[in-house]
Amino acid sequence: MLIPGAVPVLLSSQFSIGSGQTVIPDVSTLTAPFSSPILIDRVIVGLYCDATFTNGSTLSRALRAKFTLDRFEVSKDFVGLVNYAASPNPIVADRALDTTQIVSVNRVDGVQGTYSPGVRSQYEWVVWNLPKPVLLLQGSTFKPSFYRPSGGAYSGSTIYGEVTFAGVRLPASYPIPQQIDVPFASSFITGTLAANAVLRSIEPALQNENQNRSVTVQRITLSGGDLSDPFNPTVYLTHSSGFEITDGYVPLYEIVDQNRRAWTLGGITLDPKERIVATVKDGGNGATNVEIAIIGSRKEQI
Amino acid sequence: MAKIPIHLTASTVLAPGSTQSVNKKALQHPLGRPMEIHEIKFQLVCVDLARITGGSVGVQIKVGSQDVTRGFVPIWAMCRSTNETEERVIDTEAGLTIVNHVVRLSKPMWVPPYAKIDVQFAHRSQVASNITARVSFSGNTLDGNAIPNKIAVPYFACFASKAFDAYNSADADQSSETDLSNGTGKTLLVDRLVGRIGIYLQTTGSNFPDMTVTPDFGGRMLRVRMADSNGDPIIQQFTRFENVFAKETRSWEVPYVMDPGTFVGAYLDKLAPTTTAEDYLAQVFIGLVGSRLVTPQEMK
Repeated sequence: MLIPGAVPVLLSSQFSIGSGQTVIPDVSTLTAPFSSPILIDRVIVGLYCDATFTNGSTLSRALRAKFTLDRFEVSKDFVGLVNYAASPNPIVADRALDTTQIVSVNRVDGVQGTYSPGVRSQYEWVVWNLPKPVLLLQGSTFKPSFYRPSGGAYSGSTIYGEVTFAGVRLPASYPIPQQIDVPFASSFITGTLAANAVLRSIEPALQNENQNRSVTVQRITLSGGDLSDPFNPTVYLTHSSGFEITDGYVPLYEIVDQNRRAWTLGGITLDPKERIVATVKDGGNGATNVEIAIIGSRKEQI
Repeated sequence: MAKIPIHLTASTVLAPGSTQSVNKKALQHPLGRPMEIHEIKFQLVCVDLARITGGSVGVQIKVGSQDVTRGFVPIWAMCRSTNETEERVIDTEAGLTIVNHVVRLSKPMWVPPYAKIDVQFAHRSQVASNITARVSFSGNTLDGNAIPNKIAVPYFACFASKAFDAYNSADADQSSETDLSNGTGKTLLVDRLVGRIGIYLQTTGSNFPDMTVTPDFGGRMLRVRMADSNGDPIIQQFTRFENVFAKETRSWEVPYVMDPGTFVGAYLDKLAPTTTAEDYLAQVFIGLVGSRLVTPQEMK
C-alpha cells in the first residue's frame, strides 16, 4: 500500500534462547522512536543454531512466541512460532509438516556452513505477514517474547534469533485514527497424544476473550507430525454456537493446504466469547503433538 | 486494433572488462508502432562452468531520452526472485553456464513509435572469459493513436559493495550518495529494495562454488543499516541481511515515494567469524527499483 510521504522503516532486536528458557528481546530497539507513527506490516524472525541437523526437527518449531502491543494482548499465550505464518513455499519439496515445513528451506550445508569449521549451522526464517498493519505511535512497543520448551529439538544448543519489524514511517501529517488494528493469535495444543486418544479444546483456547471486540479470523494454521500420514490425527472443528465447521473428523491435510499449513478464511468473525472448538483424535500412531491456531485481528481504541 | 504481443531481443558478446551496446534496430518496433513493455528479460551465457551470476554483468538502459538505469546496474539487482524457495541463479547445460533473470515492471512502460531503446552491457571482470549477454523486451503492440498523458518509466539504481573477505576478518562498507539515489529529477515511486549476495572462492581464481547466498554470511555475519538522505533511520539497528531482504524473494517490498535528488544510504557491517575459514569473497548488491511518470514529449 502506497502512502504518500511514508518512508520505509525496519526495527530489529536480537536474542538467544536455551532449552527451557523464556526470553524477551531488548525492546528498546523495537519501540517506535519517531514522533511520527510507524505502520508495521511484517514480522520476520531469523534463527540460527550451531548443531547437527536432525531429520524432522526445525528450529522454528522448537520456539513458541507471544506478542503484546502496549497494553493490548496479541497472543493469548505462547503460540508456536511457525503457526503465526503460512508457509509461502508452495513447492513439493516443502512437504507441509515434514522436515522442511518451515517458511524457508532448512539449509544444512557443510560447504557453506564455514562460520565454525566442522559445525553445520542451520538457518531458518519465519515471516508473519500481519493480517492488518499495526500502528505504532511514538513510544509504543510491539513486544515479542519467546519460550523454548525443555527437551525439544537441539535442546543442548543455544538458538540465536533476531526479530524484525518491517513497515513504513508515516508522515507527521498522517491522521491518527481513533481505532487501531491489533493482531490476535490463540492456539490449542494437544500435548503428546496417546494412540487413538481424543482431546477437545477448552476455553480459552481458540476463543475471542475480548469483552467488546469481535475478532476477524484471517486463517487457521496447523502443525503436528506429517500431514500426509494417514495414521496421524484427524480433527473435528465446530463453532461454539454449535455449528459444524467440518463434517466430522477429517485428516489434518484436508483442513489446511499441505504446502502452506494454513486455511485462509477470508475474514470470518468471532464475536466476544465465541470460540472454535477443536477435537483432535489420534489416528493410531500416537506420540503426535498437534497445535491448531487461529490468527486474526481486532479493532481497539487507542 | 487489439493489443498484440511483441518480443524484441538483441545480444552481444562481452570481453572481460568491456562495454558493448546491442543492436538498437533489433529493439525498435519493426512496424514503427507504439508498444507497452511489461517485462525486461536477461540471459547471460559463459563457457566457464558455474562462474557467473547476475552480478557479473551490468546493464545500462535508455528509452528515448529517459534513463531507465542509473549508470550500469548489475542485472540481478533489478529484480526480485520469482522462485519462492532457494533461488536457482545459475544453470549449467552442455558445458555452459546460463543465467536468466526477468524484471517484471510494476507498471507497463509505453514506448513511442520509432523510439530507440539503447542497451549497453558491461562485463564486470569477475571471470576471465567472454560472456554473451542478451536482453529482451516483451509486451504488447498498441494502436498508434493512443498516446497516454503520462508514461511510467521504470528506474533502477544499485549499490555494489566492495569484495568482502567473507569468512575472515571483520569489515564494513557503505554506499555513496549517488548509488541508491533518485537521479530522475522526478518523484520516484519505489516498488522495492533488492538485496543479493554473490560469493566465490578466491583460492581457485574466479570459480564460484555456489551462487546462492550462503546462510552463514547473509543470515549471521553480514548486517545492514540504512538511512535516508536526511539521516533519518530506515533500518535503525544493524540487522542481519536476510532479515531485511527475504530469502525467498531477495527483496524488501516497500512501496514509497522518493523525492527527486534524495537517496538511501546503506551501511554494511560484516562480523568476523569465530575462526578463520576458507577464502571466499563476497560482494553485496542492494538495488532500488521503482518508476516515475513522464510526459510523451519527455520520452523523445
